[in-house]
Order: sequence, then structure tokens, then C-alpha cells
Amino acid sequence: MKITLKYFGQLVDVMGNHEETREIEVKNSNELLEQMKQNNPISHIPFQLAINDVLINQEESKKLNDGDVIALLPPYAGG
Amino acid sequence: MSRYQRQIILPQIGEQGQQKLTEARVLVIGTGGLGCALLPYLVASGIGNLGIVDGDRVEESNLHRQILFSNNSIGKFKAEEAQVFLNNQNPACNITVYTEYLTAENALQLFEKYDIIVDATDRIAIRYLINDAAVLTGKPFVYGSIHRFEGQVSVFNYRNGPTYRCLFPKAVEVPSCAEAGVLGTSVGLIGLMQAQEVMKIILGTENVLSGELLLYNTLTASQHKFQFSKNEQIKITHAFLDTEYTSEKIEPKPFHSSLLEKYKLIDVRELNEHPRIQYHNILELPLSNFKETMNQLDKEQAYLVFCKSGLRAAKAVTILQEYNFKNTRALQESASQLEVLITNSSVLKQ
Repeated sequence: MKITLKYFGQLVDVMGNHEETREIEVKNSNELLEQMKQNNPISHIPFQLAINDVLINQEESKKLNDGDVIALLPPYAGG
Repeated sequence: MSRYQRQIILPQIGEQGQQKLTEARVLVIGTGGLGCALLPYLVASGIGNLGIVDGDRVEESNLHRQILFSNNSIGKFKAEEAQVFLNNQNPACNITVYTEYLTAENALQLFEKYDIIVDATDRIAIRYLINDAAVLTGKPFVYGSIHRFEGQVSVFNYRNGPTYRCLFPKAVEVPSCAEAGVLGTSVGLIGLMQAQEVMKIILGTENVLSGELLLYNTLTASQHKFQFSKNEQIKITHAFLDTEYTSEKIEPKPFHSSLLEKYKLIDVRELNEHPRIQYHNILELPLSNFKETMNQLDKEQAYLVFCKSGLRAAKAVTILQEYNFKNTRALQESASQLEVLITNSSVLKQ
């Protein structure tokens, strides 16, 4: 299935863009996170996950569907 | 009331709304880029009572974005400099400044005096403290923060709604403006979005940004809202506040002569208090004048701080930690006990 990933904050620098569409094999949010952390140096950055604009509790894995938009949201500190 | 006429004619405000603004009590924590942007608009609107908390002083590198300050402000307390500007802007606003940092010791007492808390700080650890103190005192807090060109805005603990811990449960430091860089106009925009939420809360309009995180990208001019809900598992108690912010940071260390190889001693008692300790390597920096004299200290050096009861030593340690001193601890012993230990230690007799 195809999903869109949106990156914010420090993740934009690490991932190299704000947004990308990917073909994925994984079925749920936990598997997606695992895979992303394996393939990208993002483990040191804290972030929350939103599926279609709703934040999810990362302790509960959510089923992913074709066309989902997944946002990776880190906290900001500057002021 | 012609001063406020243009906003009074708005159906959402009216004379009644203006009265609400006059009676409002808003506490702003931090007078950096966000604070400098939102404060003059809050004051101009006729908000009656404003508190400003900031123990920091103006530096030259602040001036490109902290627009309440000028060259003459450098070295002065930000909160006091802001007060001068704002008093001149609208003398009807009653402004109280607190030239200290927010701590677990002063947060609850401060928050009790106000209706709305505005987080204009630049550190995640303080944000959790604001969150927890806001929950314990039942106050809504208006959050804003920035990473380079991207800002986040939300309102937490509004009518018992979701809190910062529901959004970001874990405390981890991320880069601040000093490390990541920031443009004054970007942080100004985010500060004004916070000011707008403050107005909405006071006026009781609908659609307060509660349970929603607004992300605004000032470079691409795009914005996005994300929904989040209250995590009922998270419980903030007074006991949690005490252990989370106090004991770990300022737990006193028992004295041993070997510590003096690494640490220098700081006596924060007043100079007329006895006994004075006869040891060559003690700095005498009374707490009453501590912030003025602490510039002679070296951030890379480790320090042990003591006083009579431990209370002032703990305060001094908190101040040093706020100024990024990496290795500073209060001593468990009182000055009198320390005198005996040092006098009896053969290593230290010289």
C-alpha cells in the first residue's frame, strides 16, 4: 500500500525533505516505526506519530491503510 | 474608553468583553522572542494585570528578535526592561515582574495569583514544570515554541482538557534557538498566535486550541492542525512535583575531604554570619547578591555550595543550573559542621 510521510522539526534535516510518498509492506504503525528507525538515524530524536491528523499512543500499534498520511512530530524548544 | 473602541465594536467583545480583559490576570513566563512579541499586544488590548517571570538578562545576541530591548538594555534584567517599555505603552496595565527563574519551589504560589499561564520559555524541562504546576493549580496554559522556521502552538489544561504530557509524555531536551538558529519574524508570528489564544480564553470565544496542536511553517506559509486527546493515565500530584523537579537536582551531598580535589567550595551565607571557615579555597558569594557576583565562576568548574540550613545553598544550586553550570551540588552539612570536618581533616591543615 501507499502512504504519505510528513516530517517536522529536526526530522526534516535528517530525512532530507518535508514529505514523501512511499510504497510499504508493513501493516501497522509499530512495524513502520521499527523499519524507519532501522533505515534512518532518527532514534535520538523524540517524536509523536499522527495518522491522518490524529495523534496516536505509540504503545498501541495502529493498523495502516492505503492512502494514510503519517506525520512525525517532534517537540520544539525554541522561544 | 475610546482607546479600545475598535475592538469593543466587535460582536465577540463589546463592553462586556473589554471588562473581562480589564479583570484578567495573565502570567507570562519568559521574555525572549515569544514573550517580546506577545506582551505588547496583551498590554495594548487592555488586559488589567500581567505578571512577567524571567531571571535572565539581556544579551546582544537577543536583540535581533527580542524587540522590547535596545542596546541600553544589555546586561539588565529582561523582565524589568520589558516592564519599562510596557508601562510606557499602556499605564493602565498593572505589571508585576519576577526577576527569577520558575522553579518547583515558586511555581505554584505564582500560578495561584493568575488566571492564564503563557509559556514563552525555551526549554523543555521548564515546559513540563509549567504543565505540572498549571495542572495542580487548575490554570490553562498557552504554549508556543519554535524550531527554526516552524512553530507549534496549543492550549493545555483548558477546562480540564489535554496537557503537554498528553502530547509529549517524555521529557527530552531538543535544540533551542541558541543552538538551532531563529529569525525574529518567525518567532514573532508564533508569539502573536499565542497572544490570540490568550484573548480567546479571556473573552470566552469558541475554538480555543485545546486538544489541537497547530504547526505553522513560516517559510512555506503552510499550517497544519493535529488532534490529540487527554491521557487519563497521567496523574500529576504535589508529591510528583516535589520529586520530579526538586530532590534529584538539588539533593545535598555529604562532605568528604577528597571532594576538594575536584570541587571548589562556595559559601552563600551573608558575610557577617559565623563561623567563617578558615580554608584557602572558599569563595564567599552571599545569596542576597549571588546573581550579581556569580560571573566570576567558571561553568566548567565543579562547585559545592553550603550555608547554614541548606536552604540558600539549594537556591544557589538552582540558579547555577539555570545558567548551565554542569556540576554543582549543595552540601548536606551546615557551615558549623563543615568547620569541624575541615579543621579535623589533616589533609586540609595548611
